[in-house]
Amino acid sequence: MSTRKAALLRAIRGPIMLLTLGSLFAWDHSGGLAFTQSFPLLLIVYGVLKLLERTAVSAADPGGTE
Amino acid sequence: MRPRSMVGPLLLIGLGSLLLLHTLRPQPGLLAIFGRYWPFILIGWGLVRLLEIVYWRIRRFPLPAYGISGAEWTAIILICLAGSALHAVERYRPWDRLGAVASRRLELFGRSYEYTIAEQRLPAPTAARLLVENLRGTTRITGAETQEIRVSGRKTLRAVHDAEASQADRNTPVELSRDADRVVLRTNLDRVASDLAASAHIEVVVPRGTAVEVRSRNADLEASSLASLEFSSESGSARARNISGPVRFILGRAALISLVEATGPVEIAVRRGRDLEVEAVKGAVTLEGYYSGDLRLASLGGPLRFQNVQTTLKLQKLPGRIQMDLGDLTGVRLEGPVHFSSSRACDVQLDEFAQGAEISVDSGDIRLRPAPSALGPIHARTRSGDIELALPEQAAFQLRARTARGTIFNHFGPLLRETSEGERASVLTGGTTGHPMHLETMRGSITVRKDTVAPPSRSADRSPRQIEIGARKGTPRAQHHRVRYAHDGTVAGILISMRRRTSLPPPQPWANAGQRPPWL
Amino acid sequence: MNCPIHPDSPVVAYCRTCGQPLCTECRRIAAGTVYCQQHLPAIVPPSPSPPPSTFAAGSSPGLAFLLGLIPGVGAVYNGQYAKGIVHVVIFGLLISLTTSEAVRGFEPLFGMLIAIFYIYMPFEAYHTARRRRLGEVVDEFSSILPLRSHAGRFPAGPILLIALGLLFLLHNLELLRIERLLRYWPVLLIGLGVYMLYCRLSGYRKPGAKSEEHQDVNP
Repeated sequence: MSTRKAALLRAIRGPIMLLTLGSLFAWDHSGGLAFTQSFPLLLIVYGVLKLLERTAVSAADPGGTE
Repeated sequence: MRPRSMVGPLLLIGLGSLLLLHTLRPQPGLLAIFGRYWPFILIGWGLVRLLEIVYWRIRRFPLPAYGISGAEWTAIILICLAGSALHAVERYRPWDRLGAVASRRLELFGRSYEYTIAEQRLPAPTAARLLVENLRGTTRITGAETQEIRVSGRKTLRAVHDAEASQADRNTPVELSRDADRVVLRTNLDRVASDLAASAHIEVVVPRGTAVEVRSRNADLEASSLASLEFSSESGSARARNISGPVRFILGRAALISLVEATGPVEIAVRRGRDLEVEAVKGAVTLEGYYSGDLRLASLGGPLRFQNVQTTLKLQKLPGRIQMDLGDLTGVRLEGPVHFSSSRACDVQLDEFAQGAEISVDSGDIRLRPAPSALGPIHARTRSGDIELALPEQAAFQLRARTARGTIFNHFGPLLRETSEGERASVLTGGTTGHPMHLETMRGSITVRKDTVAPPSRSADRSPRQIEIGARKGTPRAQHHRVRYAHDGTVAGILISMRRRTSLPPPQPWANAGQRPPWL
Repeated sequence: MNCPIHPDSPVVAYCRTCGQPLCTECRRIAAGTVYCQQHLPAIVPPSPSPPPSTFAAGSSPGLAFLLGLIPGVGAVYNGQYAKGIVHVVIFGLLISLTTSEAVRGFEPLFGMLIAIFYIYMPFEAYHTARRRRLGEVVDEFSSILPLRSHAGRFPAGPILLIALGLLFLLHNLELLRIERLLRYWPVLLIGLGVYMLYCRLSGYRKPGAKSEEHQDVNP
């Protein structure tokens, strides 16, 4: 089951990154934080998604070292 | 087998309806819409893909390896680049600048229309207060020997056809009304859509001694001879002179702020500014915010406070002048105690300052020459950079200078004692009475030299001055220069380096003031 | 972990398309990539994201190397358009960073980074072209982010990304100065040591599990 969860997490990574990117630009244009300032959020979101994927893969793999 | 994605068809439908809308009602302009709302394409795209994937997962279709393929990312990056470029064009319209001429506009959509604002007059109450609301354009307010308030000017807007333009002109009347001792002037530009880019350039003549408040969104202000002035705007420039009362500017982005001759107190708060010039103010001056260009301050009779997250500058009085940009602070004739601290790199050079100074920079050179008549305690600290302190020969002081890695140059001879501390650190101490002088650098040399008392005319010759070298593109910056003194205190030569942050530039002997530089 | 279909055999790989755990019996290999029976490319071509590269016999590694000297073009020649754009953007960012005020004092470092990246691009294109000529399916993002998720290993990549993101965000919001933080750089060494220690210790505890992990899926 968790393997499928990992596959889902991997598949939604792209769309969520795209959503974040769009939101940051929209925020920039509406006079909020400039994109050049808020871009690290992209890194954070990417890292969180990878981390979730890792945890899902580990949970699917009880023989793993975690 | 997985069904195919719906993003492509949806994008096509969206594009089709937009083009259809454009043929039916061409007013806003396609590129303008795209430049403004393109991030929502990305948001929608991501949302559709996300929902699709969740749906596929619920229906137990196989999931793709990547939610968004490489080809799609290519398209997204291209959309980002095009959208950012168009947005930049939209935002930095040249017609928002001070005194922009209509013919120099960047015309993208529609035509430009210009209307004259009919002159209006209103007898002014005594000690009048005037409130001006002009969202876009320029506002020029002049105090004169008159008993009435007079308004004239012109209005520009862009539209696709004549009927639309004249309709927009009728919708934005300039209103001048009086309510007790308060006069309100409105240009009503908010009544038409912002796509028309309506802007009003108004000239107002008021009696001297009028208190004026101007509210704008994107406008420039020129004001002179008023009793007090308050200006708030999201972006714009402000020039004011001869204000016999408090001045308050609250701006988002400001290309230029200039204030000459004011009684004060002056309060200028800017989120992001470029150049600032404040001169001849009698009262207190408070400055807040970031300035990417030059700050020029001169002849301030009251205390000065400049503050943002990185930099703080405080002093009691400024008979001389200060010039400051992102990497330099140069000051002549300050009355302190001067307090300057910056968490970024900054070269500091202060001449003839009174009552001591406390300087702390992250890195950069510090050069201090206190006024011999009013010495005070001096604390100077830099993490990486040279420190040079020039003291009168007969001055009483207690010195402690320490460099963790660097050389010490002592021109006071046996009066001061140099000791080494650890492997690399050197300490120079000396003196028992007088003001404490603490100098500290982690990496760099420390020079303590004699500042011989010279007649005022020669003193003026000796003070380092700004040297312009040719014309430079962009914001003019102070050249990084360094004055080398001979042992008797006269100028031996001036080094000018074009590169910033070079600790020891190759010497370019540019001028020698009467003396022959030692390397010639 | 064992195969869901053959409970006796251990999992040695995962399907590239659906992530299904596979044992040696269930594993199907097509063009150097592991699939499950259901997703063998010959039977079900993945529709919205087809692998952009075809088995182009005409892809010449030498030409790819030469074209790779122009930023982005080498990847485009290999049919990796997204990678080409990413290369151009990275190259441009490096150059504009080097000339901006933000890297005051670090210009030589960034200059070297530009040089390394410029040399990296043609070699990357050369190797990709060679793999394509050998008939391997080349992933669109091959070698841009080589961080593959290995189950059970300490998730160093993601945590590093999150930490870097937080650091830059705090810097941009002016809550923290990176320059100030740089003097604590030896902490990184300590962190690396702790991480290596962690790897060794967990390796001792489960020696069998590690050897399975290394026969992982995607090339």
